[in-house]
Amino acid sequence: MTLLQVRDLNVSFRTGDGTVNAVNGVDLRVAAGQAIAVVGESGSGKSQIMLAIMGLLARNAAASGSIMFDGVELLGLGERAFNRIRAREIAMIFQDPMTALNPYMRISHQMTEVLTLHKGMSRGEALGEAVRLLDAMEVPEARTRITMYPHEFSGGMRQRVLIAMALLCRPRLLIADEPTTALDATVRGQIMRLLGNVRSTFDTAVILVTHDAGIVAGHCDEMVVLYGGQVMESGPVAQTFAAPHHPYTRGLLDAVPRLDRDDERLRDIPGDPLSMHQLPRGCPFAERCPRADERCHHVRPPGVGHAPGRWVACHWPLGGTG
Amino acid sequence: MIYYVARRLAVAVPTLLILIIVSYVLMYAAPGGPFDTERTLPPEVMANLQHKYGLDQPLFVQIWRYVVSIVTEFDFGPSFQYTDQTVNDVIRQGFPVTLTYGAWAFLVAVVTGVSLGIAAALRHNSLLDYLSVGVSVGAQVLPNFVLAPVLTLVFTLWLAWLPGGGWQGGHWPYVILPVIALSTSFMASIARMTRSSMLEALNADFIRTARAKGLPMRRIVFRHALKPTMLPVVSYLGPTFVGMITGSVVIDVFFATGGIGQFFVNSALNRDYPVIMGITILAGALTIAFNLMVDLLYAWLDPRIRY
Repeated sequence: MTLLQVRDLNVSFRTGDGTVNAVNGVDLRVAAGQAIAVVGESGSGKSQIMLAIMGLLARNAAASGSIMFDGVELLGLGERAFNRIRAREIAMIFQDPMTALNPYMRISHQMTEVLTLHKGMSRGEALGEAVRLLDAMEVPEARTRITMYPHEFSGGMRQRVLIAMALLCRPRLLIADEPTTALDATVRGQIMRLLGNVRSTFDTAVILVTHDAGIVAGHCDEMVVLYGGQVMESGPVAQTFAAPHHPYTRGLLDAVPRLDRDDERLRDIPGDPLSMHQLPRGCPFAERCPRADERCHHVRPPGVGHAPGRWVACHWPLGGTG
Repeated sequence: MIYYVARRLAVAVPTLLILIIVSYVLMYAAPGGPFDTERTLPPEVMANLQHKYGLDQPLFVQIWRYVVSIVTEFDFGPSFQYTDQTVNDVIRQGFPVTLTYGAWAFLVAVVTGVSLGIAAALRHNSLLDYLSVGVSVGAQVLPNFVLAPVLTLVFTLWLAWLPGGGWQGGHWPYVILPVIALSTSFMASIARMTRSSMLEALNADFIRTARAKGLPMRRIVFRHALKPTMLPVVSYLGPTFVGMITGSVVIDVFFATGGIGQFFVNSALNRDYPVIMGITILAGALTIAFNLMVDLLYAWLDPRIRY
């Protein structure tokens, strides 16, 4: 069952020096209980897609296209109606747990206000439920620690709190925007494991936004690779990892350090990420692509379905005839 | 925390002592004396007067006597200018007046300033925002010695709604114009501070989290953004409050309210040393007390601050 269907999403910003096109015609589909990864470098538009889904785009942003969530069009939905979807149906956790919690409020208050508002619970009921979720996120001594302030928690613990807070209303979709980027490497694994548990325990679909293709494997079913605000490739994680079709996906995967191979040096992708001010006519990756020819610079490659479930936008896909 | 308050109060004693010594020395160094009049007094009379008030003693003896009488008897000495009145009498007479209109002006400035600032921040770049910023800047560049006559012109001479001066024991019609004249420019700076502080607070990451939680805007503003908004404003309010309750010369002179500000200026002009000293010490002590209160308020607003 399709839970979220994004069609031809465009997000642009009016700025002092012109329009910035952050997201350009993105399609995305999440089934109930599914975990998908949205992968791309910074500036690829991945966070803006998520903010568009949450209705939290900046004031100077304009979005077009369609975002259907369980039969409801979210694009252009009013604040009041959106506040009945946020936290209840779709929850989001953000990149930096050090700043995402309100430093002036106790954890208990920040968590219970969600339940008293959306579920009409009493303070006592809400507190019990909040403790239960902190326990589920393996926050030690949750019953006593819940009365503390955010600064009394470490970064990893704060991210657990934020995940627990996001799950309070048992949403059907959890958006995790780079949830481990700001954390120590030692804590990353724990947070990813907890996010993995979320799917099985709470039956929540997950969109994992990341620039690190390395954490996608083993945690997600599908992956979507973004570049220049466009989808380059999408498909099941295992197959995409085994045989990427798009040269950009290849580059991303090559840039991930692998311990099981020591024959080659880590490779980067030459060149800089695209400036979003002037969208090229052709493929956004053409400037940095080793396979690009004249056509790539002038004609935007159409999306082509390859093997079942796989999709790529490239004139010269890898491992295919094109 | 109790330890912190005790330590701050202990530090206040040497601070006040330094304040006394510095003010006394400055006063002593200023040319002229309390008994210099247009008609020169006979030398014998002058010597007698000087002797009577201990002004013939060396400077450090004078300061020593002054401090001792404050500490042992809470006696701030006699007024030179107002015969038969002590400094305590002068303060007892003038301070309640200043405290009344000062505290009201403070209340008005804070309530309207903060509300205006929040409203402007929430309607950022709207007509209301520009209007309130415009009014604030206007109010701030309008000095109270201009505002006070304009107010009297309109409300006393033209409309004849309110008295243009006097105090009448603080009967309310007499309080209104001084309060407006005193509070306006403070209201303006509080509004502008609140506005920029609220705008900054609303840009914080944790506000985005609050919005992602589906909280209504009113709750986000008052439960999540208000505390960080008030932090810089509160640090401004401490000294401002002291400034307002220890008197405004302009208000006292223009509205003839008989507040402490008027006494302060008169005593400075007439070299009424004990009155100058008394009011200076009062303002100093209040400043120390309210700075401490601001610091305690800070700890209450921001849980990361602990003493």
